[in-house]
Amino acid sequence: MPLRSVTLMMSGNNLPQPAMANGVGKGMAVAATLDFDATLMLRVRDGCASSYATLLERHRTPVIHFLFRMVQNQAIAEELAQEVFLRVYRSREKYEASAKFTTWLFRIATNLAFNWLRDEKGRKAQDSLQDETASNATKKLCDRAPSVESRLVYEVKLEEIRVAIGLLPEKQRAAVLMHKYEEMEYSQIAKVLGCSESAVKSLLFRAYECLRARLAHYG
Amino acid sequence: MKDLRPSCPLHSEEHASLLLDYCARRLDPDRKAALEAHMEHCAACQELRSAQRLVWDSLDSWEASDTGWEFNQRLQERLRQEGRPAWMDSVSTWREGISWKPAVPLAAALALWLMVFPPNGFNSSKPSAPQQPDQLEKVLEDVQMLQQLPLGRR
Repeated sequence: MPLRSVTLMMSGNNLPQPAMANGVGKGMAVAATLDFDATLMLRVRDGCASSYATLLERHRTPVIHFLFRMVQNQAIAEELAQEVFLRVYRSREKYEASAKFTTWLFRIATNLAFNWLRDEKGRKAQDSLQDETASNATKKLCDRAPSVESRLVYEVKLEEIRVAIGLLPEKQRAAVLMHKYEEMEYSQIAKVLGCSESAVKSLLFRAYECLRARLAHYG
Repeated sequence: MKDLRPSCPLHSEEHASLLLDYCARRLDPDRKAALEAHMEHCAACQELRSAQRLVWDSLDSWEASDTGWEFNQRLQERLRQEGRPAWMDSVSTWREGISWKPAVPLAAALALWLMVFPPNGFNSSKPSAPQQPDQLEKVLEDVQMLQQLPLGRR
């Protein structure tokens, strides 16, 4: 695929939709039964630059948001998301539509987030994160004028949500984010995390239990 | 922390997805009706539903931002780098390290030298007519070649 055309297509808004009936290249017969994204990815494999741009437009925001909530840092989230889409592009020739495209995409994203969190753990303990956040919240409360009280309450609440999510173990956190924000089925979360469906239910049960306890005072 | 330990068998890990799906509005109508009928008489389930809805609403308020165009531009640049063969990088590095500034005076000096001391009697009184354009062409070629030579570094 001519790379220049791939990159130039990336900013386009008038993205073409793949025609399921008129398949081009290998794999298109299989693609008829696949999800829309997998069809696009098979087209990318066959050298269609605009399909890569379409995939990027469709999944950039969910991937960045997921990574942001995982690592809780916008710059890191965007950097990891760049790596996700680079890996998608690099793997295009080996791509086989054996699973849902988003399962594969979020598996890449989750693994990158896990690796980053593991590296980060060495530098920053979870306790210090909690202390820092608490002190920041107190500082904000003291610094702001009473006229912005409602905004402040919202910010403090948001901070507590971030801390509550941040304190969840990595797998529980990923499971909650995929369940809540990506609205994924248990089976898909299981495939992303490489565990059984019942294990996902168990992860979610424990995660929401913690969140309910930590956020109960807002009731 | 508030104690939310279950007192209803539905709160077990085994049945957890039922209430989660209910709060996420993913339960099919039949099961939803059955669960709601149960909840009317089960205080523990009512409490759990309220707590779970609170979590759900709290998570809804957590928004994340997106930087579409900037993100695309950076990815575009990285993809361009990816697509470039390795030898191209080494060539561009080599070219970046060369300064062409010293080549200009050197070329001028050579041109002057060739004018003063022509190789085949360029300065002779009766030059053979067909030789002149050839020689001039050669000089120009030489100058051009000199300009392309890597003669110094920045």
